[in-house]
Amino acid sequence: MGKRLENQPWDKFSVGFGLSFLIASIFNGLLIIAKESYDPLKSWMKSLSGHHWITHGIFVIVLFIFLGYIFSRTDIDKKIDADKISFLVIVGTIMGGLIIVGFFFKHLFE
Amino acid sequence: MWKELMTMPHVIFGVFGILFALWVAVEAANSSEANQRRLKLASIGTTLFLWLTYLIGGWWYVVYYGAAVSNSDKSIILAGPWKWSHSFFMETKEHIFFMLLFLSILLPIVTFRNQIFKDTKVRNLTIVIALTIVVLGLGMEGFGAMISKGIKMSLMGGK
Repeated sequence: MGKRLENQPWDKFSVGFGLSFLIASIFNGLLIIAKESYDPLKSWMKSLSGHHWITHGIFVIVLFIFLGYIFSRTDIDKKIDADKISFLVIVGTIMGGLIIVGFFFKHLFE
Repeated sequence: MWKELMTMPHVIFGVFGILFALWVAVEAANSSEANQRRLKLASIGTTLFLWLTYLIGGWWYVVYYGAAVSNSDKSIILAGPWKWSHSFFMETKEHIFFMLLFLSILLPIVTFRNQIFKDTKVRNLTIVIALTIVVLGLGMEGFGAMISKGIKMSLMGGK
């Protein structure tokens, strides 16, 4: 099994969308905190699609695709290798998950 | 009957999404020039099933689960002893799921745009993404069970 040489460019989209995963996952958690803490925001999100969760989904998915595309247009593939993207995927999952779990955790004691 | 039956595809497609992601991890771990087609097929299957899970589950959630009537699942849970099966488990589940959708888009990008068998680091990335989907997916299944149990507890009067 051949190994890729260090600092060789690899697929730009894999890097761009991998990096976007980290940011979109954190944004996803922060948007929950914002909309649950500030009713006008939640009402505004509801007014856009009929349900705040639908709008939430559209926002985060569009952000993920938009950032992934923007990052893919740069030379980021020369600076970040697949091992770093693996790390960012794990970090994004843990951070995004912990923000959400942490925010709703208090409800477990109701 | 239609409404009740339509709770099933969400769960079934979710399980298929998990199994296909596990399949991706296995193919990637044993990647060679010979299994690239299967690897891509499994990654597309993962994406397809996770999005079906989202669309069908999301439709059921918006139309039926959270309907502002006294006999919706949400209303029943909040009237019972396990309120947290909605306020923690459902709230957490419905938002963590978006991370699964991100990963379901990222996975085929990696498998289709790289030659996995030629690059150990990309192979490992594929395995990390696939196994993260498996772990989060199993979590979603468990959370779903807690939500169902919350309804049951309400209907049984908390016993």
